[in-house]
Amino acid sequence: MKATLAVGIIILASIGSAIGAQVLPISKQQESRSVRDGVESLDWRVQAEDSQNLARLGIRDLQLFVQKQLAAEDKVSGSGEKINASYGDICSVAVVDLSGGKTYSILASIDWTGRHFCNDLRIFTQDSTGIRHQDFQAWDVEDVAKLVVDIRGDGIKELAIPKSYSSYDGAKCVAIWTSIHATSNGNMADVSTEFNSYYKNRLQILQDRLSKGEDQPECAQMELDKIERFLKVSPSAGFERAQRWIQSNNPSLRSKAIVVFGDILDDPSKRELVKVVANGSDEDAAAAKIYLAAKPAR
Amino acid sequence: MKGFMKNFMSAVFKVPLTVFLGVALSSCGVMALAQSKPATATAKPVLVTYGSTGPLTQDSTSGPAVWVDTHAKTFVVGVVWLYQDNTCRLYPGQQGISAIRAPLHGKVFFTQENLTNPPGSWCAGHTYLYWVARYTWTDADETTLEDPVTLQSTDVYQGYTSTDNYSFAAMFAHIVADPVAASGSNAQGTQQDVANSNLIDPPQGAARYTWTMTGGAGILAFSNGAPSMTTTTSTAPVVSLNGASDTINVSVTVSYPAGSNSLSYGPTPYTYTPPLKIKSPQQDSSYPLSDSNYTENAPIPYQVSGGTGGQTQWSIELSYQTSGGYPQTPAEVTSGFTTSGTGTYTAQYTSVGGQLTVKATQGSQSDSVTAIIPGTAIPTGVLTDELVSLYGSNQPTPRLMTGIASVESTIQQFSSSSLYGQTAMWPLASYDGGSHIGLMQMPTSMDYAFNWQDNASNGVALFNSKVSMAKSVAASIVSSHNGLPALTSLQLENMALVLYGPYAGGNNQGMQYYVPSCVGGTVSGVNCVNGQWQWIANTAGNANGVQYANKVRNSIQ
Repeated sequence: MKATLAVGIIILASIGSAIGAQVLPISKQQESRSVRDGVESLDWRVQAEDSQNLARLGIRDLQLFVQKQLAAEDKVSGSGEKINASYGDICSVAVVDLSGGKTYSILASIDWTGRHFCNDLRIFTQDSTGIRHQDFQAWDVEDVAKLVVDIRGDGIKELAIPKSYSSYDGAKCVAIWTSIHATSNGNMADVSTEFNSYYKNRLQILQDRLSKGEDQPECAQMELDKIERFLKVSPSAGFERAQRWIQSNNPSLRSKAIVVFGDILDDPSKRELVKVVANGSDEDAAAAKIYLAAKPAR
Repeated sequence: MKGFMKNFMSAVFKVPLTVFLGVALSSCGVMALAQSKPATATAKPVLVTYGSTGPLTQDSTSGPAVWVDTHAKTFVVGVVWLYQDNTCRLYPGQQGISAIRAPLHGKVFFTQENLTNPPGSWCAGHTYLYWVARYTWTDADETTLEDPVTLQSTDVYQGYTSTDNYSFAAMFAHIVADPVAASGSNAQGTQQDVANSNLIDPPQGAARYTWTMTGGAGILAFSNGAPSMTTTTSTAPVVSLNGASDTINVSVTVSYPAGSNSLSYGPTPYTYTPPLKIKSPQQDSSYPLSDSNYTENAPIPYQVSGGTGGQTQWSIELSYQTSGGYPQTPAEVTSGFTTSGTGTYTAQYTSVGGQLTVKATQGSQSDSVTAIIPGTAIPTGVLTDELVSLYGSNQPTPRLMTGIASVESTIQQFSSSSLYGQTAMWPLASYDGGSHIGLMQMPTSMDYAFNWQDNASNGVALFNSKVSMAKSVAASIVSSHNGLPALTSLQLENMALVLYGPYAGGNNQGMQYYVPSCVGGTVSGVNCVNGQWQWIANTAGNANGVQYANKVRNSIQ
């Protein structure tokens, strides 16, 4: 009697877990039965019958699926064997409902360097034509499940994708910009402008951090200034700071100043970039040229 | 007054019937009751007891506790029967004293002594031949604290017997030494482990305690550093002068402000065993990787002091995790060994570091300390020479690896930072809390953190694998672009730099450093009609990657 009751509780718990799960981090997903014909053959709809339900897949099936997708891209054998690290390591993978109860997506972060830079974010979806994916150059996505947010609290999930805003500087800090993406016509579209509340909240976090003091505050400051520009609190926030940085002997600060000018890219900023091209180091000049090429100075 | 025995007065009458008469003169606790005599006597008798504060007559027969020792015949009481008529005359009859409740742990001695009643007392200035009782503790068992005794004083006159009882508790103090415990201060104010010698149930009213020890010369002492010490409390701390153990005998003499004889206790044997302590390595000590290769630390001696002197089991755990929690499970290296007595075991560590947690155990005793093994400042020339050597002189850009190291770490394996509460030359951790580490900013691990040579060689090997990958990708692109020249070996290095950096896109042809461009013509399938396929820097497809590669080239040392 007790055994029967215990089994019943386990079954109910399993069902509840499967139904309630919107985001299933790999660590939380149960080990699944073998997917004989591959994940791509399953019905990815949220309401799919239990035996076909994507949300019940285990980590190994998901990893295998992503590996096969990457192998196919690289024209490497699609048999599903472990792909050589130089072709990409899967940092994390998760099944997520980003559609408000319609279909699941599979998110994966991938390291292409062999140094565990999990900066490639893949979003796999299924439609009538088969498996499709979108690719985002993200920054440090150790766990894709942590990107999933519900900013409006309406049950429809968005993705908050971090990207490097300043250029990589080795062990030094990298400024981050987080863009908000939501499903639109089957694709993940940048809808950041619809979520000012997210950025206002982020602004407060950054102000708190900076008020407490940081070892390398310039990256948080860059993000804060960019958010102020984004929210139109101050259209040229950070410009004067970048003017000071560009005079620095510190190449890292100069590099960040160029990024700020390139991001503002109004006439005063373009003039600063022109000065860098004319007088800056080769590296600074090359970076400045990239921004000017996109929108030449008048 | 622990164990004080309530007594009662029992007057034993022989004919004729007697009448009680009580006189209370003092509150100090020495008591006596007088019993009336028959008409043949000219006045009633009164018993005067001469206690520690002089002669008294009272209506109770419970005396105060009397502290005794094993050496002295401690005065308990003197009794004498007088007329109760203020004439201070000795009552006639045959007086005496005996113990009607005999001591269990000692012996009562009876004598007659001339005692003069002091000023202010009953019949002050008069001297009488008192019946005196004295007590000496004789029991070998010195853990019993008190011995109740009841004395009876008698006077027989003309066939009438007057009796009076007097009870007291002989109190016996004894020395107990606490185990070595919490630190206290020695004479120099230095914190030191102590074993308190305590006189349990010390005599009331004691003015000072003079402690002495025998044995343990040069090893043990009281907290004043000497083998004798005077205290005003019943405790004397014993310390080890050199951390060693020894056996001593402790004695104490208790003195009173004035008048009373002193009491002596002990010698009581006591073996002082200092607590087990790790003598080396010391708490928060640092053993950097400071040998000529910057991979091995100076020998760490493991040694204990104190304890039982037997076998010591050591467990060593070396753990490393960055301030941001990388690797997610701390990298650990564990080891264990045994030492005997105060013997020393020496160990060196190669290519590992972090926090050293050391635990020494002897039976139920244990001690633990933490120390650190950080890195050390490695000269830039050593690092760049190694990188150039690893990459090879026949490469298109022989010093290219110094550029990578410059961008990744400003050519440092270790830098001054704080970890485990100590500022030291810790492995250079990436700003995100340490996901990447060291010279080539490899994924954080114990080896990449503390073995700069492995960090360098694996970084270079990884780059070489990227060159191979770049060749493959470039060949694939060339094969689909008629007339596109092969990349030069230097251009392949640029491709490999993007693949090594954080903006790599694997085999994705649109994410490489170079992409083909149809210059001067139009694209038609794999052909560039009326023009020429040329390689151009891919700032449109992977600006960040191109910028990383350029930065590396501009940073070559």
